[in-house]
This record gives sequence, C-alpha cells and structure tokens, in this order.
Amino acid sequence: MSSSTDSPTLTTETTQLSPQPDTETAKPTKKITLKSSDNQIFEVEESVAMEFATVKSFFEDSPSTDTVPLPNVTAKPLSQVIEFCKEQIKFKANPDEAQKKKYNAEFVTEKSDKDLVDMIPVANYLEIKDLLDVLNQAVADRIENKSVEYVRSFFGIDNDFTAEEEAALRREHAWAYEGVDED
Amino acid sequence: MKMAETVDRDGGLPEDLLITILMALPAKCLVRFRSVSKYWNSLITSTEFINIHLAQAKPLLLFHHHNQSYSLRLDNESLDMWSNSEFELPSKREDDDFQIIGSCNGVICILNTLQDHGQSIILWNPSIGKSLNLALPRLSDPFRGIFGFGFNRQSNDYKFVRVVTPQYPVGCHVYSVKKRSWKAIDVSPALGCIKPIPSVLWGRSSSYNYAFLNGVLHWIVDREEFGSRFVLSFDLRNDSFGKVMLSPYLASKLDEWMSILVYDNSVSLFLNDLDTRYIEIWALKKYGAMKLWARKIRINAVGIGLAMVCRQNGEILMTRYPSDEVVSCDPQSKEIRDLKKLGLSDYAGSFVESLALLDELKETENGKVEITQSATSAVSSFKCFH
Repeated sequence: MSSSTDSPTLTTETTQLSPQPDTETAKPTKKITLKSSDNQIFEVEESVAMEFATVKSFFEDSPSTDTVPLPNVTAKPLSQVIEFCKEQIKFKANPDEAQKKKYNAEFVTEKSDKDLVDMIPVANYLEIKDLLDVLNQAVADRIENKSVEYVRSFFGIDNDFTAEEEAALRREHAWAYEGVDED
Repeated sequence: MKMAETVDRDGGLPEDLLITILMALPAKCLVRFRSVSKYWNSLITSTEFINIHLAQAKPLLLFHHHNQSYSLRLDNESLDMWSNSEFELPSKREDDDFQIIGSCNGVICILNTLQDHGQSIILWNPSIGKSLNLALPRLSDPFRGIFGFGFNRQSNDYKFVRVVTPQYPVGCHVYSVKKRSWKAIDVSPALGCIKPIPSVLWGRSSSYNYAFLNGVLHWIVDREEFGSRFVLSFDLRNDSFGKVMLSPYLASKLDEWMSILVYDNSVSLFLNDLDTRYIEIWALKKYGAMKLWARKIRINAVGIGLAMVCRQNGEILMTRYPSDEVVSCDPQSKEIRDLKKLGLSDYAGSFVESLALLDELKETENGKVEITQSATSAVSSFKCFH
C-alpha cells in the first residue's frame, strides 16, 4: 500500500528532468518542504503533503520544486492541519472507521474556537475535503444551540443592527430564541 | 496556483465557507442567526441560500395521526423519529377544521373549513414557524373544489390551485405567493364539466388527492356527462391545463378505489380492488413522444386502504383499511410489513426542513396582514363565479 506513494507523480511532459537517474524513488521517506506565509518551514513526508490537493497539483505542474510556498497559510493552522493529515494517512493504511471517527472527534474537541475557524480557510485552500467537513460540522455543533451574542463573539462579528431593527427581528421569530443554551 | 478568496469578514471566512458552515445548521437556528448582523441576515434570507439549504436537506416524512397530532420521521430504513419534530399548528380557533392538502419543500398546505362557514388556506412552514393565511375566493354552496399546491422553480414561486367543480366551464383560481395575489385562469370549455372522483371511503377526500411532479399538478377527475375518467394536469410554469387519457383498462375500473401519487419518479395511479383482493400501481411513462400507462406493481393483498407516499428506498407507505395502521410495501419482494410504531395515520407525505417562505414579506413588518388584505380584495373580482 505505502510503496505506491513513494514514487513522485510524473506527468508525460517531464522531459526537463535532470539527466541523472531519479534516485528519490528508492528512498522510503521523501520529505517535502512547505513554507507558510509567516516564513515558517515545515518538513513533511511526501505522503502527507500529497493529502493536500493544492500541493499535489503544484508538484504535478512543477515537479522539480523542493519548497512549496503557501502564501495564504500561517504557521499555526498549518501545523494543526499537518497533524490531522498525518493521522489520516495511518487510517488509509489501516482502515478503522470507528477509530477514525474517534480521532476526528478528539481532534476538534481539543481545539479552541479560533483554531477551528482559522483552520477552515486553510483546509479549503489546501483542498482537504475530509478535514473541511469535520471542521464545518464542529463549528456548526458549537454554535447550534447558542445565542446570537455568542455567535457574534465566536466569529468576531460586530452587531451593525440598530436596537429597533434587532428587536423587530427578534419579535418576528420569538420562538427561535427559546431553548438556547447559557453562553 | 489558485489563490483563496480573502474576504475579511466574519472571522475572516469567505462567504462560500461561511455558507458551508451555516448549511450544517437546522432551520430554527438559522432563523435566530438572522440577527447576528446585517450581512448574515441578508445571506440567510437570500433566495440562493434558501435554495441551497433546500437542496441538501434530509428527506423526511410528515405524518398526520388520528389524534390530530403531527410527527416527522427520517426517511431512512428504520424511519427514526426526527429530533426536531415537535411543532405546533398555527393558531387554531375552536371551530377551525384543518385538513392537510399536501406539502412541498417543507411548506404544508392546509385547508381550513368551518371558519365563519368559509374556507381559507394556510401555508405553513413549521421549521421556521411562519405561516401565510389566504382567504379563498368565496363560492356559492354546491360548488366544490379540487386542490393542489406546488412550487414553480423557474419563477421561485409557491402556488396554490383550486379548480371549481362541477361547474361549466370549469373555474380555476391560482394564488401566487410571490405576487401575493389570486388569478382566475380560463379553462377551455373542451374539458367539459368535471368533478372529483367519488371520495375514497376512509375519509380522505379525493379533492385533496394530487400528484406534483416537475412543476405540474395532476388529479384524477370524472367527466360528468359521459362518466369517463382522465387525469387533469395543471402546469405551474405557465398556468395551463392539460389532459392525460387513461388506458382502456384503467378507464374501466370506475368502481374501484383509485388514487394518484408519485411513484418511480412518475405520475402514478394506485388501484385497489377489494373484491378481487389486489393492488396495482400504474406509472405514466414516456416512450418517445408517447405517454403510456405501464403497470409497475401487482400484489395480492387484502385490507389495504390508501397508498400515501413513496419512500427513498422505493417502498410505499400504505394504510390498512379500515384501521389506518401504517404498512410499508416493498414492490420488489411484494412484501407488506406492519409499522406499528407509526400509529394510526390518515396522511403521510414527503417533507424537508426548509427556510421556504423566509424570503417572503421581509420588506414589511405587517406583511401577513397585507397578504390577507390582498387576498380578500381579490375576492371581489371573482364575483363572476358566485
């Protein structure tokens, strides 16, 4: 299973490759360097980096690169996303849905609200569908039974309604404000 | 390399990412979060958002029970109770009598009779707690109506249709939620004088029995003067009537219980012969330019009443006659299973939790009043029908 991920993805247009034979296919753990927007360097195994569809297509377009710049991604969410993907690789090798579910649940439970929200654009940018689904659901679960005030502070949103406008909206749907958790 | 959109608004989340989070929230929650900010309000109440939300909604089944209560269940194998299923009817007065006509996109269409001896229609979205009351243009007594309710995707409009029978030429009133007004539709005299087929014995009038598919309503009607039967259709996209003839076989079954439903993504007739003890379903299939009735099911069965709704797994929910216990019929294995836990039901239909109607009347606080007024004022223009 893992041997298939060892060879870099080559396209038919790879005539520009360096003349010496490609020795990297023999190495079991090729590393790929990712550079965050705040200039932090992450060395990750190729199999992990290939979980990021964006990085994968970057390599398909320019196979000779060794460092992938990620101009939209800062170090903290990136490190958390890498942590998630490392585990997902293990589940790919040894599928165990129950364990995977458990891990995914724990992964989001221990993150702060800000961590979760910060990871969403990163997961989206790197096109990690599974993680994006997990994050969206986690955020939805955290705000589902919460008050409007809670949601504003969760996302850092300023209330731009006038008091009258807000009161009118609350009157219109008074029942929707019932049964909300304490903040 | 494709760059992510960086709209720095609401936690720095671009709109498409915020939408995916909001999609995972129940309708009640979204209604509440309208007051988070003006941006959230306009996003949640936008037609686009409402439609995306609808497209990903879980398929549910709505039941009306003998004890006048409603329940919602997931349309899965085990028909699990839907967690948000406790909902109350729109305010009901002592002498009101509610009858479900049908539901579409999570909006339930209810006919209220007895209220001041007239009739009104309530369009009710229980998921967002919003209802619209429409006063029906009044009719003098011997006239009855056949009713239908559906959604025209092209104009994003909910429409309620009443065909007045028996009356010649046939009268028809269509209410457009978007336009907030009634419209009289001219019906070709060629349709003749039609009436609903004899009401089925179990109390559910054939006046409310319709099949809505791809923007078109369908009823089974009898033509008064010849005793012949056909399917009357009404296309919500262009407000036009059509006629589908029955096969000679189906047309000969005038004495049997017949109802119309959507099965196998087709308008279908359910035939129930108590004497010879079988049930049949005939689907209207297209063969090139031709439309033909094809028999999909014939099952020997005793004591079946009504075919109510087709489930996602292809099974059909039916009632036992006369008890109204719910059973599930598997057309493949021809097996009919009891579903005791569903209790006694006289109505079951497809349902989704949706934000439908949330974008209606948002510009005026007293929109509800306005709609009643426009409906009432329209009544005067229908004097010709009295």
